Amino acid sequence: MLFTSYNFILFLLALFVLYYITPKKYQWLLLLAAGFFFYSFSGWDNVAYITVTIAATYFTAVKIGQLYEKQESYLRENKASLTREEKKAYKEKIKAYQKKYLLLCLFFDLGILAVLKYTNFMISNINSVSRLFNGREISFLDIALPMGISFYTFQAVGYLVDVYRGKYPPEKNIGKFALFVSFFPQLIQGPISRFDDLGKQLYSGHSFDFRNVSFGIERILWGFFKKLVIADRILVGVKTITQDPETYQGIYVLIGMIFYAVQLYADFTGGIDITIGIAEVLGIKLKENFERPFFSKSTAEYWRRWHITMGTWFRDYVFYPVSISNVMMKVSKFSREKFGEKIGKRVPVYLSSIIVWFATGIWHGASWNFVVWGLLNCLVIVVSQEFEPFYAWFHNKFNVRDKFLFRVFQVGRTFLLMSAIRMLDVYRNVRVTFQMYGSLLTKWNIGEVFNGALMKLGLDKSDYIVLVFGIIIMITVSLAQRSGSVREKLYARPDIIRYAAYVGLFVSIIVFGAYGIGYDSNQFIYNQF
Amino acid sequence: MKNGKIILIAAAVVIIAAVVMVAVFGSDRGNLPDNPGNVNADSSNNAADNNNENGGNDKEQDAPKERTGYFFEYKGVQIGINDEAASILEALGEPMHYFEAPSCAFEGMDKIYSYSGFEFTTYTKDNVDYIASIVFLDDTVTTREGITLNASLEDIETAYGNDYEKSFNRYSYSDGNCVLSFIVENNEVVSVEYALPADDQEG
Amino acid sequence: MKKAKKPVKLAVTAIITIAILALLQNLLMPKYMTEILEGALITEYYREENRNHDVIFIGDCEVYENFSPVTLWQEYGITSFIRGSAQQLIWHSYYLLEETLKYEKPKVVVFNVLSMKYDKPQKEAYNRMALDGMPLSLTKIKAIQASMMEDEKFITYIFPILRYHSRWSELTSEDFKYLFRKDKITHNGYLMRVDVKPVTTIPQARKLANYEFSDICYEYLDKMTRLCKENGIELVLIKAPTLYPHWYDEWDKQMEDYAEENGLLYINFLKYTDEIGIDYQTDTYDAGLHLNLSGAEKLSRYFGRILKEKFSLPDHRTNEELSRGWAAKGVRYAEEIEKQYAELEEYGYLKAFNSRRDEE
Repeated sequence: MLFTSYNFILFLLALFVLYYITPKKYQWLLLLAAGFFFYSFSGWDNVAYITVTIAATYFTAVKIGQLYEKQESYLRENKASLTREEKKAYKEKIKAYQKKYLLLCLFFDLGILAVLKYTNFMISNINSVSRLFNGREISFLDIALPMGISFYTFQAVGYLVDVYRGKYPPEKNIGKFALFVSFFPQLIQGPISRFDDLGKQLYSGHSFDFRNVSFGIERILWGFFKKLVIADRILVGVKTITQDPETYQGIYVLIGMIFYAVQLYADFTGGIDITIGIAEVLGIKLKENFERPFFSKSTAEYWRRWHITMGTWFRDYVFYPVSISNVMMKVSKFSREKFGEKIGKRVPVYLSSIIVWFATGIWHGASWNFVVWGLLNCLVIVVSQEFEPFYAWFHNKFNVRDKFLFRVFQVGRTFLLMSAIRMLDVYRNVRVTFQMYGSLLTKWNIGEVFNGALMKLGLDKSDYIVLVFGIIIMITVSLAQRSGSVREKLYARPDIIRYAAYVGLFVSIIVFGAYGIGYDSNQFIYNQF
Repeated sequence: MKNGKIILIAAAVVIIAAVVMVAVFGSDRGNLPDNPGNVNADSSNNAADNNNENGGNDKEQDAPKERTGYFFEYKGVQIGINDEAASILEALGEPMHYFEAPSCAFEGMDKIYSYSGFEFTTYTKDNVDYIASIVFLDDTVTTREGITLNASLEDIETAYGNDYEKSFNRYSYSDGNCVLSFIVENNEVVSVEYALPADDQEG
Repeated sequence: MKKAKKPVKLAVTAIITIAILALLQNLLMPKYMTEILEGALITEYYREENRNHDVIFIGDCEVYENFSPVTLWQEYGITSFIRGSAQQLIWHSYYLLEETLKYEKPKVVVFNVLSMKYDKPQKEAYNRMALDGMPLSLTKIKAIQASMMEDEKFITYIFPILRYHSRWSELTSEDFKYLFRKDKITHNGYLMRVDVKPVTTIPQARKLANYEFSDICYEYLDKMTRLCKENGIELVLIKAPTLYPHWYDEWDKQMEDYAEENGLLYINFLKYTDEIGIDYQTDTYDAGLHLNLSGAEKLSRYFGRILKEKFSLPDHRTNEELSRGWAAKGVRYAEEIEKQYAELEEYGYLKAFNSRRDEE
């Protein structure tokens, strides 16, 4: 069931009504059932996968929680008799147990993800190496990735690690825990929620609140607008250019980059808007996943503002553990001794960054283009960090930091840089992407753009008109957001303006949306990750 | 001793890097299984490319590529499903009969061109006519594998094998682009037809 | 507005939204007034003032191009209406009949059996032409469900704006001109063409692996037979005398058998072309697929006599009120003939059907 399918909209309407006539105490059960109903549309085998992950994580967390309780009661009962060393030794013993359980479950959860997602990738790598030696080739496995596995696995893993760290006690009710992992709006493309943030909201029950509901619906409409009017329309142009790199070179690569930036932004943020909007209608506040990322002035900032919940997840559950791991400590010690303090202290940080970005890349897709994509991002961030002293000197010398034009330059630079790196995920092929970078720099065919070539990309005049207006609206909303929530501002205006905005949005989605016969039904781009 | 270790590590790094480079740049298919196809080229594009190649074949200078799959050949002219009709018509010359059947209320039009021994129909897409079907009219023409009207089921099986789909007394062989089917009555082929796969077929 | 209560505001907003969408839907739906006229056929029935006919025709182009109700009236005083549409499949026909019976009880229903050869929908466009013109009803819902192709969505039939929304970029003056009111295109369902294109060659019939009509078609034919029986209506099966698509003897035999089993009249007009007087050099406008005005009038005269004798249909020409109505129809009919001839004279072809010409 796609977000943009009629069935999904019908499902939502029915759920909203049922939700508010269900007693608060049982609302979470309804959400759980809705989630599995939703999930079952993608196949019962998928339901099996998520159920296994839920069960394993639930029982492990409960076990880890019991160990904490055991430790606590032991320490309390023997408070007087134990020495400090004995207490410490006992705690370590418990921790070691807990760690065993944790690792076992992580191995299991991530193992499922790894096997389903990366087996064919490994096979293809083995094959390309074996081809060098004229070796035999292994055939690919025919496995479909369960819907949203990357997202729900991450949520489950985050929860488990938090319980292990003693951040909060495990959820006792398996149904409630299952709801946390399988909460359907975020199941397919995030945001990646944390248990301490989402859990309580899911279980507490919510009574009908007009403001919440209207805000939620507004957000959903806005998401549909971005997805259907902009993303799915510009998609045709993106496809035309990127599926035929032989023909579309030079300036077309730039056009493709910009088109894809618009498409991905509208598609992904639109999908997240729908997700957050659905939750909001249900009275649940999800974490924001974007903060006007295209206005970032540097790559590092961009990654703090784009797909935020993924970034923080990798920070909390990959970067920190890796940087403080024993191995890293040893590396740190070694490099300090070897290369001196100045360089030596950077080595572990950069190493951790590389690991995180490698993981981020391969999480996005099991292929080298995503790995290279992740590492390029890492490279840009590291390089700009290294250039920090230079920047400081530059800003000292030329006082432009706060000049409007300089900021525009920074934003434009970051946008283009990110768009260029992102092409790895469109061409899906490292070699082709680099060839296209080359052609962008060496092939000067700007003239073609003014000779009607834009009309030959599968988009006609009316498409461009809609896109231009749609993008203007999107940018305007983003600009207006700088000084606070656009929705709050709209809420403060007279009702008639607010309602007119709703109606306008709704009608333009219906009329100008790129849906129905003649348009492919396009999945949200992030569904596949 | 220590240096040796470092050299060893360096060598390992170089080898790993080389292997990774091979994998990164060498494999075009690395991402296939994970790809839901919304960015990948779909097969219809490839089909169109093939058509263009065949369309250009009437120029003598480049030798025609070896063509696979089912297609019909008449006096040296290759006629296959989804081929562009224009060059074929040019090569074959004026048909004996030409009949057009506009579909009701629609811009589409089935065109039937009859030649001695066979006829073919076309469909129109984006103002270009493509071959939709080829049918034998008498036993003066033969498939490239040697089957004519009046052949027997054994002849068909000898020529094409047993991997056919049978529906009533129609025996169909498909290569994905074209379905070659024979209707056999009383162990005698009464119809030989090249056509689009059933899903793409009208009526 | 400011003081109004929330529910009131919401209700007003909802009503305005619906009104805007309804208006847009009217605007965006194809009008079929100057091109692809076939799309306008189904809905015309509902704008007919006197829905009380002796004979209702259902079927594909072989009914709406080949029979002229005006001729049936002028020659025999038979009142009739053709509920035909382009490539109307048998389930379309059945539900259209069911729908028609809500408005009237004809004495005779005539069904053209060519569509027995189709056991599944062929093109979305034909579904649209058959279904979009029907008002919403349970019958329509059943018809939609029976007709949809795999990639079609039910809701787009209930709210056609969801299907036609992208026409906003190709709106023409026609769409605004006919926003609220549509012209009459047909003459009681008959889509007239006076041009001539003689038959030169008819392709040889291709062999089929299986001549048996499919179960689903028989199922609907049975339903149709039953529906007529229940309502005391005579069902007549016909095959119009057009030469292409080929009507196989094996098919003809099945229809003969079916008619006999069910006590129905089945006429394959292909067998009586000489008696009817059809001259394929002058009586068809597309070399044998459809009859033109001359052919349709000949066929109507021939068939009218059969209908009259077999089912003793009364001659309504003595009924003054009916005569007045039909006289007006006759005038419009004559005017259109004149108009079409004038057009032929001027352009060499008929403008309303020119989209096809451009294609050639």
